[in-house]
Amino acid sequence: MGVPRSMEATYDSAAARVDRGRLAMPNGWWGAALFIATELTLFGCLIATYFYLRFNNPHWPPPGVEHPKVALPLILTAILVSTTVPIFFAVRAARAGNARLTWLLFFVAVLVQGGYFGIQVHEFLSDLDKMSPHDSAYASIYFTLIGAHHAHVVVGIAIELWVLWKLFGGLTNYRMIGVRVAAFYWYFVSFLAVAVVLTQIYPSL
Amino acid sequence: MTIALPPEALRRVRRLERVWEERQGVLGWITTTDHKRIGILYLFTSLLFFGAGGVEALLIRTQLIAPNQSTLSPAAFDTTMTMHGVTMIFLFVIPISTGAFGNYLVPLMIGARDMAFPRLNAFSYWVFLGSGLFIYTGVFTGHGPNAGWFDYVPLASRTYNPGPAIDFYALGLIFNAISSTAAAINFIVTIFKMRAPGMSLNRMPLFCYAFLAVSFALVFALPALSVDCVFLELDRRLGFSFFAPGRGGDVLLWQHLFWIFGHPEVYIIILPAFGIATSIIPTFTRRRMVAFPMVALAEILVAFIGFGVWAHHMFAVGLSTITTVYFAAASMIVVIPSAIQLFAWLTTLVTGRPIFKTPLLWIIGFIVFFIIGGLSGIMFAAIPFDQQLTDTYFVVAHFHFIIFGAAVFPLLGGLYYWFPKVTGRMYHEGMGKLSFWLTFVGSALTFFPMHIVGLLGMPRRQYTYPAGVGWDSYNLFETIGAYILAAGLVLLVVNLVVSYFRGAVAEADPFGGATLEWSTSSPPPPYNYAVIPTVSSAYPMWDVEDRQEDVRKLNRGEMVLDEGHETPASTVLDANFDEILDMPSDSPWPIVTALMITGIFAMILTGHLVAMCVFLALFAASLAGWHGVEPQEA
Amino acid sequence: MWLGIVAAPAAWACQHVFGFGVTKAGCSIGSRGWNVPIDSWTIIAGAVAAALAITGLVASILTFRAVSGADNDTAPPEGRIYFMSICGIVISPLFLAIIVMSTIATVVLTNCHQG
Repeated sequence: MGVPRSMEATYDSAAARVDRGRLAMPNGWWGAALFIATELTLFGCLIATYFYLRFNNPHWPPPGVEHPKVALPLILTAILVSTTVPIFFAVRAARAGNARLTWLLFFVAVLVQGGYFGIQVHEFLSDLDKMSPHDSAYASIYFTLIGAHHAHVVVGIAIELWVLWKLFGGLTNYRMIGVRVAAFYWYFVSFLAVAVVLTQIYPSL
Repeated sequence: MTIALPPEALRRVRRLERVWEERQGVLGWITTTDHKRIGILYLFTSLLFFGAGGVEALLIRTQLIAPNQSTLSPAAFDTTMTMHGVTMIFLFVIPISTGAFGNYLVPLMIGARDMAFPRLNAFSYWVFLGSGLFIYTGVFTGHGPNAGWFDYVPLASRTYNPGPAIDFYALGLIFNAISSTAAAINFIVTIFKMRAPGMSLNRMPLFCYAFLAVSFALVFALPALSVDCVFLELDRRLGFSFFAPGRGGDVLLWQHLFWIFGHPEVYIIILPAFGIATSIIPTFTRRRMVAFPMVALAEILVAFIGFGVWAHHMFAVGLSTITTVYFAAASMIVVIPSAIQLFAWLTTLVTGRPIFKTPLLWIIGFIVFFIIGGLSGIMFAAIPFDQQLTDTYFVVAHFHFIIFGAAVFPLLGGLYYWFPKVTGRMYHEGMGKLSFWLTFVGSALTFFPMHIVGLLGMPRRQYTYPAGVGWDSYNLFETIGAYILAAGLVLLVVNLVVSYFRGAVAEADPFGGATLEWSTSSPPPPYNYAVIPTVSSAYPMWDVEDRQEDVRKLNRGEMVLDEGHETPASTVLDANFDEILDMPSDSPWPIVTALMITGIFAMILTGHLVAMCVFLALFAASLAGWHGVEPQEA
Repeated sequence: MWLGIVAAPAAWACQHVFGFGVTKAGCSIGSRGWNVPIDSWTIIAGAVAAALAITGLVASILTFRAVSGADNDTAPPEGRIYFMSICGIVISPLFLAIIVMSTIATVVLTNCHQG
């Protein structure tokens, strides 16, 4: 038959072999893809709302609200997107059966992403000092859109921490799929970061 | 199984029975991950909510039986009318079609042993139950949602609705969306990856196409509703300005987002009914469905085009005509896929050899109501017509013909059709036919006069109406019809309950069905199939050689997959055999996780943010527990 | 095969969202200063979308002819390709109709007139 009993792959090289031999994407990957589809739609609605409200307002941002910064958000986004590089290689390492290298590369990614998140929280709070959602729809959508993205970054970090924890026990077929799902999620969050930051800085462009 | 098996085969079947044995008792049902048990849980819960929604409907009709009644106060009427819509849509029709019919039947129809994510399946059910209880807690504490099922701002804003009623609504719907989203993802992955090897896309039952369309529609529509409800809660609880015109917001924003969800939602409601109809018709006409590829395509197309018509619910709000015509154009074309299906069904009926048993009667009733409801619907695509009749009873007539006549009738027919399979007993045919006729006549009498009274100008959602305007007799007939309809439904329930205990024992395939579920025993064993079925057409039960090959495979020990809780996975397009998967068995994590989510929403509602964070942490912990148990260890 | 199924729906989806956006941009207070030429954009979008839809139709017809002799029961991949080419042949004209209808209507009607 040649068709593997995938869940019996409970150590590194076996898990890698099952993963390379599959014809279709694993179920867990498909589940993640569909979940990501719902989140993409969610952000689509948020960004569409941003522009809908923009068309609804003669002045954008409204009078009294300063224009958004351009340089810092773009730099931060570039840093976040750059973490997809170690993540990409982490997946390659896993597919080659190298659990330790996978662990290390994810660890590097988590550190950078954690730093990114810390700075973003500071920026978010300082923005709140300058404008309030109580006063304008601009501020309402601004903070909701950006806050939603930060929430997704937190979830992504949590997923990676979980993967790091489980990888102490080596790779199994299940964890291999988990590694691929974590990576897929981060590609999505990085893509979102670009879309969100462009929307965020749009009035200053 | 009634045929005698050789000892080798018998040993394999016994092994499957041992591996797939289910825990009994309450604990067994609370921790189950078996799609059939979860389907039954969904069935009973959604039927309970159907009863609640029905009581709400009868209260409305009783209030409107004559002018100036006081059965319901204006405030009570608003809550009853809102809860009727919310209950019927979110707590009855979607859960019964996806959770009960879909869950039970899709794995069986594709030759699988369970859904792709069994624990997620259980989780969907418990979250659904939680969300229903959550919303009704609002009702029973005197804070039932009362701004209509579509809850427009500014009526739903904090200024005009200061109590927690709308918070129950908004939070409850986000909560409910988690259940439906999880279920939709599960269906798509199951239909894509878990089909029996050989069941390529052109051989997949039409029922599964309907559920594929429903699931994709849910995935892309629900986020719009969730975003809308989040905006509403942010405005209400934290004073944000999304819907505040004076601060740059826009009340139409609510409507746009709501209907971007809401229109696909109504296609989500009708598509499972299409799937059930396309399953019942071939069986009872004893021929294949005419134009199979076009019917499969039409099911998906209705869902897809349905995403582009949302503003036809907003033709009367003041949008410019160059905007609304995009939606008028799409609304006119969306009727064509439905028409394709209708012509296919009618042609199959006319060219087949029909057997007029109860399930087919319900489908014929469905076709009658669908034609009338569809015609009144297409009339609304013409903007001037819509602007005259928006918010009148003509709209109410249209959507009840579609939602009740066309979406619910096949569900009721399906209850009869699959009753023998699920319970192992036959229903009473005479009582079945009577229940159909009562319901059919009752529905016609209730909803048809609404067309006329709407054309005469009676507005919807009003708690009473003045005497002497010419609406009285129509309303009287409608209320009488509602009670006849209720009697028909009561008779249906009585029939099924009595038949469960005293009906004749049913065989595996009492109707000569075409799809794979009819090859199992009635009810099916926990492992569904002793051998993963051989498939070479879309009507597997009518391929006698394939079914004989299955028996030979069992004797040879091929595709029995009895080394664990196993089922095959295949490729998406052509169902080439790809891997053998281990499925998890009973687990406490789905219900525990659902409980944590209930806690989160309850704390958001009551404003206890610290407690909410505690529940959030516990939720994360239970997710960790869940994923810490790998399927081969479960 | 895929082009035949995906081209027309994708073209319509883009033209629908873009067209909706153009009418909003052209008629809203926030974007009055942009002076969006609504009719020009509508015609361009409609033409591009129609062309894509027709491409989809042609692709489906070619795919259908390539598997002549198959029917819906044929084993994959031919049976599946036959099935999907029929889907494309039916889908494309429908979306073409929506694209043409909405383009003509938007151009004919007075811009920004509330109704």
